[in-house]
Amino acid sequence: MKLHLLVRLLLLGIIMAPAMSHAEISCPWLNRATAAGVLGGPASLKVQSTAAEDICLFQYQKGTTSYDLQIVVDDIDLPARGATPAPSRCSSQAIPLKGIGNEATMCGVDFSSFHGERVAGRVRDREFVIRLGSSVKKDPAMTNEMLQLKARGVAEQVAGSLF
Amino acid sequence: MMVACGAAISLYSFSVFVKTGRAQESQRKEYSNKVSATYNYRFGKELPFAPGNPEIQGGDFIQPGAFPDATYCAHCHQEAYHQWRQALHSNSFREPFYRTSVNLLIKTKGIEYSRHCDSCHNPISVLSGGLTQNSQVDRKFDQNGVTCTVCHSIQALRSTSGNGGYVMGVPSVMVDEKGNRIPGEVPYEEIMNHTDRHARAVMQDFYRTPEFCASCHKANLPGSLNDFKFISAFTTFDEWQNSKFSHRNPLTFYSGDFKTCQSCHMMRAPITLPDYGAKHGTFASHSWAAGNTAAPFYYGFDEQLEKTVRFLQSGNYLNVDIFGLKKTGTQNLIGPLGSVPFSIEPNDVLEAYVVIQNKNIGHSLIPEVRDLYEAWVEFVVKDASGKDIYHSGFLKPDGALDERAHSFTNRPVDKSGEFVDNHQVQTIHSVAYDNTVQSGRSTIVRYQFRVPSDVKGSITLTAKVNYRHLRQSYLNNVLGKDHPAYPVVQLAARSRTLNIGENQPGKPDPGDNPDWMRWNNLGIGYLDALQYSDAVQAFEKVVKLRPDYADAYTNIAVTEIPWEKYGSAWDSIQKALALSPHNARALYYAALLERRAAHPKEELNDLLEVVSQYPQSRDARRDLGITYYRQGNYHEAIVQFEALQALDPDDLAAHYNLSILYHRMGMIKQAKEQQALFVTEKVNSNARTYSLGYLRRHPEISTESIPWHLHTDLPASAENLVQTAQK
Repeated sequence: MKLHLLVRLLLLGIIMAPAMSHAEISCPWLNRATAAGVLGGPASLKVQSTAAEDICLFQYQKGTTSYDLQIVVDDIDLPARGATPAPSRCSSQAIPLKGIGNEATMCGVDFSSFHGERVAGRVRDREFVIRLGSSVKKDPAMTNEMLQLKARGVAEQVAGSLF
Repeated sequence: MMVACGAAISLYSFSVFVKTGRAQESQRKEYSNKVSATYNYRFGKELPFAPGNPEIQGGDFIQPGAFPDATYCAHCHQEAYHQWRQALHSNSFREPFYRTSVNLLIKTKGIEYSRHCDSCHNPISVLSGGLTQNSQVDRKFDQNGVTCTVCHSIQALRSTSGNGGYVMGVPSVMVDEKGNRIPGEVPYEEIMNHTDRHARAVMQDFYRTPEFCASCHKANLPGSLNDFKFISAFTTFDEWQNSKFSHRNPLTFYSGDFKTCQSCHMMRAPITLPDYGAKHGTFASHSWAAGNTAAPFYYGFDEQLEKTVRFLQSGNYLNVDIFGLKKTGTQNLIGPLGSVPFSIEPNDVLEAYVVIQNKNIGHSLIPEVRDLYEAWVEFVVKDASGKDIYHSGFLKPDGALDERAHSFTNRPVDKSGEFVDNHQVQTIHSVAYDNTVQSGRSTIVRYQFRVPSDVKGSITLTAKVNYRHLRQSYLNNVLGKDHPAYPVVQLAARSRTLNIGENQPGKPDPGDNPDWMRWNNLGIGYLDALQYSDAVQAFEKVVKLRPDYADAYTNIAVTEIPWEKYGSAWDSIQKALALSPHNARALYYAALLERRAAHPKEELNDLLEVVSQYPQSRDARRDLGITYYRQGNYHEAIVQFEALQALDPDDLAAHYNLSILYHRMGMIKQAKEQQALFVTEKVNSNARTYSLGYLRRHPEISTESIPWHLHTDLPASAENLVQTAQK
């Protein structure tokens, strides 16, 4: 695992600690059962809400493999609106998705400990980013095709709840 | 031997399915108990799906997975799947124009209230108990909306009151040898070996009836939703029932072939993909092409969009007739244009009479939610160089419709008299304005303009009926203002070029109605605008052109009855009956006149004949009930009002009269029920207060709500308009 990712996850854990102490936490855009269906098993949930953005992180651990679904939603400045994902975060060319929010794109993401798909999109003046993947590269339980289909499904759920 | 083996295997397979079925039953119980433990039973434990109307066999919540996915069906029904995927039924929940509205309901009142909408838009979410706070139901099914096994698992209909008035069975694609439904999926091989049992599981005769469609294509706002009272929302099924296509209503202005909802919206077409459901290479459309261009445009479903536009522009659904001209200051209506000579001069101030006929739509123009859908008349007058002289019904640069356009829209208002934006139906207290043209009827739209003093050659008048799904302000609310322009479809149009100077009669266009029908439609338009004198004059023209046409005389009587010219109406009815002695329409109005003239025997006989010809006529049943009631035959009166209620569970006259009749017959419990229904469903007497508040603040709509209004840019005419309104 690369150092910067470790640091990010650690920070996320620290930030989310207060949220985790609540018995009933929920993600405003996706319930845990749906996330579990996407990840393939019971999912833990961490929620972070700041003035800048809201984040939900669902995780399912199967043996040594970790499946993550992260949803980030924030407000965007109107002049800067657009759903083009930051190229540096994509390992493949972003493809436009029709019928998700006002507009959305999907691309692959490939880090040492995370291999999956990223959907970035917009509903009016809010943008969302969804990251779905596995800690294992070329995971037979979560093929690229499955990841794309599921990421698209989650994006549709998130965009739908933002309308 | 082989047959015996096959039978044994088959028997074994079925026993496996039956065991699986039992296991599913117990899984359902377990699932339901789990959901029940935290479910919000706001509307009572006995009404878990309220404010929606569905029921499910077995009563328990059902696992979403009990509904086989559409891809399972697609294996053998590729054509159906392909069509359905782009159709509104499959996108009924996920599409943003619905989500925006229902999300607001959820945010403002609570998710449990969304059962009202989702009973039709997302039945699995309702029946699985997913619409409750902190639900732990996997919502994967959201993307499929009304999926194959939703419609094809419905086992009965509760009533024609709508709001999801169906009884869902446990989804099954196969019945066993005894006809018992086997829950869930079975191997395709088994279906192929027993296609008859597959058909018995997934098809019901009533799927082909309009009542099936009524379970969702009729809606009301119950008190449990709005914390106020019952308000009728839309009545597409009733509109069909009252149309010429149902053959249930003797009072229509025209007659036509029997057609159901499915006849138009599920027309058979050649298949392009393999489908075992096809017959002779054709398949009943699962595209359900209708009016929604917004969802296919949003999703990029070009095939569905093209089908929808083609559907809207086919079928000779509307007729646009630039019927006549009136020179301001004169009373003479020059018309029908094209059939009479006339002259126009520069500086003439002309009133154009445009008649829009809902000719072949089996429901109103536009049906259902007219607060979101936008149909309107665009009327343009151009000079010979193409320069606009007058233009009404244009789209402004921001995409919004000219607010003074003649539109077929409505304005529901809340208790502050404010327009209910974003389809927040739970806040509706009244409808300030509701303009439509019912099936078979016509409306007159009048435009006034001045012929320019320097005009040369000719002017061309064009009237179009346009349609946009959805109104621009709602599109802006859903998508923000930076969305692409949504399609505007021209439903029907007619142009006429008029010479400056003399004009002679010419040949009609192929789509034009014959002159007698043009007069008839003008008369219907006048009648619906309460212009009785003009209506009678128009219908008298029909008599002159078609003296053999019994309905022309009846139309005169239909106009004269509300005008209280009963003697003259009776004469007209007699002429109609002389031409057509068993004409149910004439007999019905004859009965009304006989009632007024105190001829109860004749009144009864005529209504009995109407009911024998049209047993599903609401009006005939209602009036026959009244006749029996007035004659003291309470038993028969009850029979008629109960028959009426079977046709329309929300008929106020039935509630009112049955409450009294039951009471007189000692049926106190039933009387109380009917009384309560009457009080609940009758129009709120304060509704007008809310409407008037809105109309005071919106003069453009206030003007439109006057039946006899004039569209003009000429300042002087505004005074005339006010004077007309004051009269």
